[in-house]
Amino acid sequence: MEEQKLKIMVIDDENIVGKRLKPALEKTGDIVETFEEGEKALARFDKEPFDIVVTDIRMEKINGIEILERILAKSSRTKVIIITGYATVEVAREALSKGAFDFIAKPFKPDDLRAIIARASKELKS
Amino acid sequence: MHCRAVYGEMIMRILEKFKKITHKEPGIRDFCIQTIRFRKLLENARGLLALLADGNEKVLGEYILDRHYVTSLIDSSVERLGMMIYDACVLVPEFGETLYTQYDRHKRRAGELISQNSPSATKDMEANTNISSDPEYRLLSDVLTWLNGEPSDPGSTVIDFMKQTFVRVLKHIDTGNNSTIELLLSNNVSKAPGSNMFLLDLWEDAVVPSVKPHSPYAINCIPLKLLLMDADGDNLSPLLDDKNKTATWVATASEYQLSLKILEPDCSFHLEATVSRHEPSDFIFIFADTTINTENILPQGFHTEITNYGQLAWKLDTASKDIEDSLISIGRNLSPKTV
Amino acid sequence: MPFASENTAMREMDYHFRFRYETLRSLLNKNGGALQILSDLEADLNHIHYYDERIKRSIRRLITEILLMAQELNLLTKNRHTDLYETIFALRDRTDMIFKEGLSAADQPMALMISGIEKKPDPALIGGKAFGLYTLSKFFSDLVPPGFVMTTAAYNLLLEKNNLSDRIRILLTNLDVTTDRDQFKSRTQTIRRWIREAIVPEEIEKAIREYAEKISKTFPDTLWALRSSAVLEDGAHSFAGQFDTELQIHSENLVSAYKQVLAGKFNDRAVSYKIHKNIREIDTPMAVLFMPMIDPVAAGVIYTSELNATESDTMAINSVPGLANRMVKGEEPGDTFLVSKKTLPKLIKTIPASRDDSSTTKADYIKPEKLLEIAELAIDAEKKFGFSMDIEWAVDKNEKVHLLQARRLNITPSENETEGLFKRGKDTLPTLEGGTTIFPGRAEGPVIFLTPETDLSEVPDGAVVVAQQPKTEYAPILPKIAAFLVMEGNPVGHLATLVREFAVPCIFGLGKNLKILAGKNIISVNATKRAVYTGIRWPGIRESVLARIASKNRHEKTGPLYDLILKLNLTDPDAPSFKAKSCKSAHDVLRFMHEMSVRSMFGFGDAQKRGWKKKSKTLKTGLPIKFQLIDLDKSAMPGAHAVKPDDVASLPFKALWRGISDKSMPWPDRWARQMAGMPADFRETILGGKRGPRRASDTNYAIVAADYLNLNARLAYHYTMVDAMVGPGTENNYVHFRFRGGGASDENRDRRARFLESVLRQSGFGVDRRGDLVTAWRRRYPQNDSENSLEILGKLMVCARELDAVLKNDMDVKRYADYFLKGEYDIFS
Repeated sequence: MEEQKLKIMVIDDENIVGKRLKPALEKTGDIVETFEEGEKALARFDKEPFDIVVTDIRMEKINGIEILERILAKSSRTKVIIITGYATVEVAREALSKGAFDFIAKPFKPDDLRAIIARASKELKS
Repeated sequence: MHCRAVYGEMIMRILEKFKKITHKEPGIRDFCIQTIRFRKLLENARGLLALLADGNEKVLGEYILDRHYVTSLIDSSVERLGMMIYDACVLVPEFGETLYTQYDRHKRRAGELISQNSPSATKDMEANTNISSDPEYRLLSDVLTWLNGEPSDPGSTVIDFMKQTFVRVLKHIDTGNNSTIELLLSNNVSKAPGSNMFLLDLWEDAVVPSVKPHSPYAINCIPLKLLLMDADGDNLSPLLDDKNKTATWVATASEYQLSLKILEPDCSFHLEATVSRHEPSDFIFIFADTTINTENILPQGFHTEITNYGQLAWKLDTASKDIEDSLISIGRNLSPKTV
Repeated sequence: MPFASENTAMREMDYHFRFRYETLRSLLNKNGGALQILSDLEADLNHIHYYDERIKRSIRRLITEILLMAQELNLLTKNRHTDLYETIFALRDRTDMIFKEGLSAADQPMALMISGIEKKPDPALIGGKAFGLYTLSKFFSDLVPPGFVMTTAAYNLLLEKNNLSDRIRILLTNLDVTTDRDQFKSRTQTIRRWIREAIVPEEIEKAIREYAEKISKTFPDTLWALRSSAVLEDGAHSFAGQFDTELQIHSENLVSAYKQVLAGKFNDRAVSYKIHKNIREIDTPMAVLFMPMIDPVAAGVIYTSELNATESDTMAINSVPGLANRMVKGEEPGDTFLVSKKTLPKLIKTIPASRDDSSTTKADYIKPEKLLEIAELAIDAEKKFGFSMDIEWAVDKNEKVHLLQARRLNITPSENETEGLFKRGKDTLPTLEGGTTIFPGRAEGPVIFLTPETDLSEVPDGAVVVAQQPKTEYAPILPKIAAFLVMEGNPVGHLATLVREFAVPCIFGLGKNLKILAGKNIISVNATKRAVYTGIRWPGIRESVLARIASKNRHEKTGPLYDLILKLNLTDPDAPSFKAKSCKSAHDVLRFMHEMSVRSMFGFGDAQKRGWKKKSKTLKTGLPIKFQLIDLDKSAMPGAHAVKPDDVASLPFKALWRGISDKSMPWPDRWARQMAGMPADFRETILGGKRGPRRASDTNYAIVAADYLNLNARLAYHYTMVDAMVGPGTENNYVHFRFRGGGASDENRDRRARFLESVLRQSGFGVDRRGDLVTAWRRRYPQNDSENSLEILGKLMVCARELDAVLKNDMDVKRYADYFLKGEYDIFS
């Protein structure tokens, strides 16, 4: 039985993150698009919603919390996963209370993120 | 001075020879505090190894990391090293000045690494396409060289400095510095044949009232119990040349921790272990001088190093079960009869 | 060579200084780590059992660190504090005893029948309500309907399997219902959503199915009622009506109804109730009771004691036709029947729901014989249980009486208010009389009328609150009000139960006349006599009411480990009891060692004092504060005796100074102008210079190094400590802040502490406030964030300086916090 492909969006203003995450997440056959600028990512989202959005919390122009809020306003079923630069409980708390699915602290292995995505995908299907 | 023997169940014969020394004895409390300080030094040394291991893992390129990670790694390494050096100075004040001179050199190097804007791109790395050419990874690679690169001269890397310091301190406190203990013990060594082991109760939790009425005390130190499980109670020796020699041991113990060392003028053997069934903290560490053949003592899976000062061996970051089994083997191997 | 020996001496002196410095750093570093362990422990103990291995490990780690700190302190002070060792070993010993006493939780069943079981169930497993019912079924086996309970083990499993424990914990931490209502609501809402969306583990679904089928054998095709049975519920704390009930549930919907009831554990009322009552999450896992619906013709509640002392021989039965749930929520009035409690109960009086005695409406849905039957059962139950009770009952179509719930009735006023209860006041006539006493006692305070628009968080402490109906939503304000007057109301509703629990003097059923109190300022209430007066009537009563409120709201945690580890007893470093021997907890030892180590650096009473004096430099500033600096690593102009702030090459010092000297700070520079002509001595005295009236510990001192700052200041009667390590890395950075004292009244100092708490929390600090002592920390943040935190602290030190004289009421706390956060600093001048 073929699993349905997930559409995943990755937003991080450090290009190393997207560059490394894209191939790692595509291994499971999901569709991954990466963005370094939040606004561009949001514009893309307007055209076509994504199942999962992975976004960094600290970015120059627009921060992850704002992205979270705007994504959920557009599509409440989308699961948003926040990347925190360092373990900050406060930020994680704010993100969770605003509806983020979960968070992950840098540095992390793509497999760790994949485990969270797998959980999110299970919830999407149920 | 008041001493009393303590009795356990399966290890009766050995326990008959135990001398329990309580905290109230003069000098004992200070000895306990120094033991706890030494364990702290060991913990800090382990911390440095863990940082190195973490860096080595991350540099393989599988991780999503940023420059921030590398800066933190440098910072934490200097901090850990500083903590360890401080412990060393508390244990052996006369080393202090030299140690801080060396430490300051590493600290300066750390500062240079952090402020370094364009890390060196060695030919090695350009040739190797597996290692990323991202600047974060290049800096990380430089940091790892500082921590544990090929030593051009002894003590030039952080890890080298750490190991040297560690062994110097250990030898110093195991030989020169424990005259108080030796004096205390010399008056109380049992005349009975066989080995003598003195039990110092680090936190007053290593010996507890037994549930069985006929044996008023039981050993509550998990690593010591394991070590003695299969051991021969009459003689525990680190495989000395002279098989007839009676070895005297000091076990400083608490529920999860054991510091065990031999009290012999011409022989140095020191074991540190934590067994709490909490994997991240469980470990065994052994130091033995070059006269001892550790190959006959150590079970498989130990990291071993032979230095000019003596032999180092340790096992950590493994399942608790593995640590437990290793301790049982070591105890068995230390009993000459089984050899 | 004559120089050689001098050089050696210099070098030795330098190393000696270096080692002291490293010792202090090591000690402070451990102190930071230990405080982190303490705050983690405090949080963990709300979620993990105290005998859990994880708790034991952290405590052992904590005590080891403390012992090493004691060794370091002794290195700094030439063994002046060796008696600490004894204290520390004793702490370790005593905590070990506590762990030994702890029980290891065995495998617990997911579901249990509540009646007909042999073994007495554990209330911690099935919850208070189910346990009450179990006990009731022992005595009245044929009157309690069969049912089963999904245990707290099932609840824990559901949370665990859905990865919810930690997430809920994060959202519940630092949750303050009174200051930020929106944040509070959004968090509780999120938690409820998580639970409703949770995937129910198969073993739980299976258990629900199997147990429901067992009961269906005697109750075919039944509908179900699901009720919460939280641990602690119906025990020491009533939790009355705090949790949700699901009625008329079809068998196929039991699982989703189950989640619905679990989610109700986190409804706003229940969460704020727990915060106010200081009940820990770990103590209230949720069991859920499943019972077949009784289709009642009448239902209600009976109290085995009437609440008005004069009528102690009567019982009150409250009743409605059909289901009673709206009545107990206070949403629908019920008929009240007073029954005499003699050997043969007799109906004495009927008060219809309309409260109109002359009304012709009759309660014809229930026969008097039934009421008497219920009364007899209740008297019987009271005898068997041994205390006054309130019992929920229902009568079905076949006139069979069922008992649905039973709990203890709390009607004893606290000692404070019994005192002088019956003394006669002045002979003025009450403004208003009547109603039913819900809880006796006297109180006075400003009148506040509750309307649907009232923001409950705005109700001031000590108010006399007037409401039309006793709605359960009002529960959050009960801990802070002086008295509660209600126009309508039903003495058996949930709110009445809560009122008694919080011991708030309260009268229900005062009628529309209450409106005449509108526009009155202060009123006095005697709930015992059911009388309300305008104005102040009893001297001293307001103070005792406020004291009661303060003591109720004090966030005093308890638990076997609390006294030994977390409790801070040594709060005043100037008190004679500030000694090693007075240390009762690990926290005390830490506090003591920290103070002593910092003092030792300045060599108070130390033989080496002069040596250190040489090392200290005067800080030259244009501001009216004076500091002496000790420079640990030559980061502040070696050789100079006085330095400018700009010359101090310490990252944390620079950041803090940026805040203190910020142009927008309301420094009273006019002082400097006004005092330009005054003698220097006098100025020094006023401005707290070194010749001011102070003791040694009052001195403003800062210890600096390139990446380190420790500052102790005493400004305008309060004490401030900043301890910070800031470098380019992240792992080792920390900023600690402590603030205490002030010259104003207790209340005002308390308000300033709350102001600080609010600002610091919103600026990303972790905060602990005990009275006027505020401790705040921000650890493991990058250089930039840590520097910003210090800048905020610098500004706070300036702005909060005299705030204890400014914050006149509770509303000011939030207002001023907002001013500060918005950068409107002028208001603070």
